Amino acid sequence: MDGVITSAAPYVRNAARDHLTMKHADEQKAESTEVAASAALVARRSASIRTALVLGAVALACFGGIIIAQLCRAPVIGLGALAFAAIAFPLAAIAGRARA
Amino acid sequence: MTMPLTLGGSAERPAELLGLRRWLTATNHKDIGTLYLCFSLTLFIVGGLMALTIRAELFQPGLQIVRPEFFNQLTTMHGLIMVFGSVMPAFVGFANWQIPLMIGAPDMAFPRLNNFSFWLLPPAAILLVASFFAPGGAAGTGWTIYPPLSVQMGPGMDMAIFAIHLLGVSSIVGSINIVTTILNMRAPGMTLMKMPLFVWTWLVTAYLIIAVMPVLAGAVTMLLTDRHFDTHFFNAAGGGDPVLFQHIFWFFGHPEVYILILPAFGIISEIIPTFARKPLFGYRSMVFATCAIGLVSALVWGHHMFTVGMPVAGQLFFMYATLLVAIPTGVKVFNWTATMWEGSLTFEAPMLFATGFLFVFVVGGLTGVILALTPVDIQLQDTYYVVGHFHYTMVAGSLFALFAGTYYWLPKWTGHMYDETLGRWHFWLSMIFFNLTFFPMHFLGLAGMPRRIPDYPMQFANFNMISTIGAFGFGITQLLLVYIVVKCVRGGKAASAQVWDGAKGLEWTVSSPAPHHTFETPPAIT
Repeated sequence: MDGVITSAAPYVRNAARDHLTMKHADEQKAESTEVAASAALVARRSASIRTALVLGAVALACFGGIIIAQLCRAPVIGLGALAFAAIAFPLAAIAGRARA
Repeated sequence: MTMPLTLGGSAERPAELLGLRRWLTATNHKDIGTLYLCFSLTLFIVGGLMALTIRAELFQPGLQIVRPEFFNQLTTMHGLIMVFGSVMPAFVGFANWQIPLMIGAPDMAFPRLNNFSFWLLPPAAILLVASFFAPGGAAGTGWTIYPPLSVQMGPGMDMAIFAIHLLGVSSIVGSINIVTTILNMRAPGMTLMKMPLFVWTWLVTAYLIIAVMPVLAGAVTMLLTDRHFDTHFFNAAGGGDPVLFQHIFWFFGHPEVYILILPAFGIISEIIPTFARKPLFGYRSMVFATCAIGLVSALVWGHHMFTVGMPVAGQLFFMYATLLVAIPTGVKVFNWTATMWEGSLTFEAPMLFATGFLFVFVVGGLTGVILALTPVDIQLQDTYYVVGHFHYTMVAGSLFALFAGTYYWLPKWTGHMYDETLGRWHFWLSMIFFNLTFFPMHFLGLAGMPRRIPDYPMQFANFNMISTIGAFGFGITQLLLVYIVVKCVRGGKAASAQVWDGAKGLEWTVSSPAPHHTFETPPAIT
């Protein structure tokens, strides 16, 4: 950034003034690695939450499906909910992988 | 704080988290794994004492020790405690300890959720055990809690239902955590087809739990509303259908059998290659066989209900579907045998239990194939043949694999080698007494002795006596396991990082005992 300022205004003496900080190449590299690592952590965290929510939805569908089917006296609804729940996660997982 | 030299992680543990608070607030996967294993061992002893009381009563014909209704309560609680309180938590303990180590993850995906799912277990166990002191005693329906009996029983039944709810929530939450960890926390380069078999079997198991445990929760919720809110889901007098409960229960119950055996397959698949000093034969076919078993297990529940009444087409479907399970299971047994073929075999305690598992599990599997045949099953339904069969798969299958896994990874967990001589004694005594206990049950069943009865005719006396002697021998032998584990935790020869020379996998790259924090920097897998 400091280099950008000084090269953008070469006619101004000491354009960056006190903002000028000379960073060692190693430090810059470490910083960028840290940033990348924390970004990867955040991405992994949100991926984990997504997976957990899908799995939780599968469990809820199985729990609710079996009760609703008996309340409605329509086993097809229950079986449908179970089948949907059982295949929803693999489908979501495959779709997620395809996007990645 | 002086830090010991550790390989693959740091042993640092904040000072304020020592003592009891460390365990109450534990979020480290190793601590929670230890909690699960201790809990499981405790309930194994409780459930085992119930089994010994049952066997003591059956030592001779007539009523000697317990009243018939208390006998029924004991059989029910023995089943519930062993399935939900002992074997399942033991495998979850193994999963907690091993999965992050095996896939190069620093911890489980949701450490706090992990803590929550463990601490749901003790209240559930207390509810189950305390139900003996409720008016009318504990549930006496058998672990299948069939209505109409379960609708008519006293408050002990409500306690059992709430316990099942808690255990179910714990299992589902734990499984969500495990699947998420496996899918999202693997080290770079650890593709699905590079994962250790133990991780694969747990991936399928955890998904089965997520799919079927809520079905049981739904069934017991309906049971609860039938008991207290005048619904008639299962009450024939109100237009309900008691048989419906059996369908729902076994839709959960049969996959549950595979929930209890698939992680055992995973443990055996880790141990045999190590002690054969060869890679596992047919890794890909093992993975596909695991997935196939998981899938087919959800289609075979009707074989538990042949005598309830079902169309011939239904009987044929469930019979053939059940026989189908033998194919992927056979693939696994073939692959384990092929792995051992021409291997440089040694028989330390883990390998002894693994080969013992192969022998007794095949016996249990074959009696299962016999029971899958509808005409045979109709004859043997609810006899001691069934009790013998499922104890061969559950005790010899799950329990022997758990023993094998304990000896295999104990040095990694504690940093000390266990006493090998005592370990071998434990195996041989377990093997002899196990067969002495459960093999005669097949003859009893073929001769027509029904299960869940406290008294029986004189003709069954001899085999029952042998079975009871075997049961007490088996029970006492397990004290040896407790002694070996305690001795190993307290000290012994120091274990190296690579405990077994043929062992492969990331868990063997960290020092023994495994550092408190491992793989904070993910390892690169090539």
